[in-house]
Amino acid sequence: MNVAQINNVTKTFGKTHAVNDLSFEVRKGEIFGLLGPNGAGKTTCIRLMLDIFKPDRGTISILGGAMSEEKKDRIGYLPEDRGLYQDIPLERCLVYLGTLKGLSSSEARKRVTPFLEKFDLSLHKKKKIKELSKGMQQKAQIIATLLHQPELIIIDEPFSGLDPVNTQMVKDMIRNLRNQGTTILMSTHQMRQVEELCERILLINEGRGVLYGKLEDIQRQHTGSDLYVRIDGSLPPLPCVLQIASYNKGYKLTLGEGISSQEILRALIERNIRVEQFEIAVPSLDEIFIRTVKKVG
Amino acid sequence: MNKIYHILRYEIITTLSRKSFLFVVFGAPILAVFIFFIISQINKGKSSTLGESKESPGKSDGLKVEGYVDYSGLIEEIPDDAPKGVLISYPDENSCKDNLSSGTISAYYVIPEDYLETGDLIYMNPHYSPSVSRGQSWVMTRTISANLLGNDPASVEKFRHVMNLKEKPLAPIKKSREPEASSFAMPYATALIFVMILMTSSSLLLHSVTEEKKNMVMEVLLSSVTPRQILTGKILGLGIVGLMQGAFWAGAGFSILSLRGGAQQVSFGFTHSIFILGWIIVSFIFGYFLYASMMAGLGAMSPNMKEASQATFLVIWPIILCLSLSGYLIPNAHGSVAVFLSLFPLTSPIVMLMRLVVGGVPWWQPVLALFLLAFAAILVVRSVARMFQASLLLSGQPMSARRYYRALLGRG
Repeated sequence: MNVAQINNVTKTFGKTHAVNDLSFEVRKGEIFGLLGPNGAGKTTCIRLMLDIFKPDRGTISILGGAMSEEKKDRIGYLPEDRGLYQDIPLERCLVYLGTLKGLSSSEARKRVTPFLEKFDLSLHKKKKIKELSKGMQQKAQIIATLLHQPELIIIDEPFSGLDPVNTQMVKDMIRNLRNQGTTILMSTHQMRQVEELCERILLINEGRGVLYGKLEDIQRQHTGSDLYVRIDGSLPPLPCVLQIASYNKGYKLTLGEGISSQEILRALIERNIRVEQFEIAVPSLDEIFIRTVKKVG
Repeated sequence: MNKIYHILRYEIITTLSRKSFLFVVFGAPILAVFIFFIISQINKGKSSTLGESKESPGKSDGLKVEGYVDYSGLIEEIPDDAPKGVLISYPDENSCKDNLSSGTISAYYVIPEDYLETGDLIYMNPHYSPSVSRGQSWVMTRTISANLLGNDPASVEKFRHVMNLKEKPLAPIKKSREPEASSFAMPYATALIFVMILMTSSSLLLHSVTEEKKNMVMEVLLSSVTPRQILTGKILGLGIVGLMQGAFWAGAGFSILSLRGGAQQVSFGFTHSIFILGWIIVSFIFGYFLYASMMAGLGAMSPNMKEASQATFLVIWPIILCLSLSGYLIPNAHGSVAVFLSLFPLTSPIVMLMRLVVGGVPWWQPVLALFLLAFAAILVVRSVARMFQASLLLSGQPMSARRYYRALLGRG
């Protein structure tokens, strides 16, 4: 079942196509990565999904249909530009944001306490938000996103401003939520986190989808042109190798078109070279991202 | 509806927990009442000391002791229903001056020989203040009236209730009464307080919207509620705060007047005080909706508080115009300019209020003004609700008067 279904959606601001004929789906219980360079249209896409903006063309189905007030209460949103009232105490701010997600004041207050304990913020609950550190504010924002136990969570750059300990905590929390059946759409620039967490991704550039599917499949599609090789001695000249670079006490070989890794391995063995490591290089998401965006650009 | 309630509640609690706001709304009037209370106590002490030490003990109500010289021979005795010891007779003006400089009396009257022909009376007061000095002239009026009527209680009573006047204007009254100092001060002060409350509430709304834009809270809110729910919750919440502020200020104002012994003076202007009070409350509600919505629209279109504050003139110019023209409008309360401005929705809450306090306004004019004001408020609220949309609330475009007015007219 799809939690979100976006079909041929277009949104323009003046003459700019922020989102251009975009289609994708987010499946129930998955962690979906929404990637793209700055200004690619990720935030507009999220705002369209949340019904903050209306699409010019196309249809958006969230949690089984058009957006409604009741459905807004089933979605948690962590925006990239963190938004909290600066001049009021932390606890009051969280309770208020909880009530806007359909919780009663007493229920929201009841739920805030364990979250504050979990995020080590209990001692700061009476402090004004502006008195908290950036990391604490980030944690407070995450609490506001999760307080009403949403079915779909949309998080924009969830790790920005967090130290490694809290980054790990948020990652574990995302995994736990996924294990409990919550669907998560994550927009981030941190490709390592995407590789660690996401099952499927959509890469958008200039409002259009340029890569979409399972992360493994995408990486496999971009595999095959690079090899990691470590040998005893120096590397002899090899046929059809476009580029040789030093890599981790060995070499990274970029192969020319039409040549397979088997042919390189055969060439090394034929020269009686002792091969210590021979590995097909799976490109990182970073590399795929840069390569794809450059190609499209 | 529930979410509107939560927004409304949040706005009220947040505003009332701001120290600066609490000081302006509650602290300043309490301080003013306290100061006036101290002053009135000091004055009371002074005048009672004077009264007890001299020839007229037992005088009442904090009135000051005053003297008079009667060259006309009219006053034979002080009537029973005049406060005792407030008026002291002296044989000549020099005696009055001596007692004035010694502090025995605070002022004195000279009744000339030809008083019965001319009706002229001279009042000598070294601390003349238009709004205060006439506060106890009714004692002398009552004394002269009684003596003119031969001190016959029945005649005096009849004279005081010579007719039961019921005013029924047949056509717009062209000319207002001759303005007295207090009849200018009262409408102006009432309008000024009204404006201050209206502006405080509207500015709170502007501040609230721009603050949420600045803190990036707006996007979080928009993921939970619609722009219209935000606008409605804010307008209602801050309107309630404004009404509370108004009620408190009105209470404080009345307390101050009571302490100054001027509460009776207030009533002369408010010949139909219940009607005026009702009109003030209803016009405040509609006036607030009108101005607060326009301020909210300004907040929605401004990228930050600085630009929003600079642009408030686009909204409040009619109010500034009314206050600037008050010197002309109050003495000419029934002139065509005053009548027009008292019916025009952007100015009616202030100008009609001034006219009502002056008095003599045909009943249909305040009713029509309210009707027009309500109609305009509905139109503006609807227009601003259209402006209050995500693309504006999340944009950082600079503010411009042209964009604002176009959006207000639904052409944005």
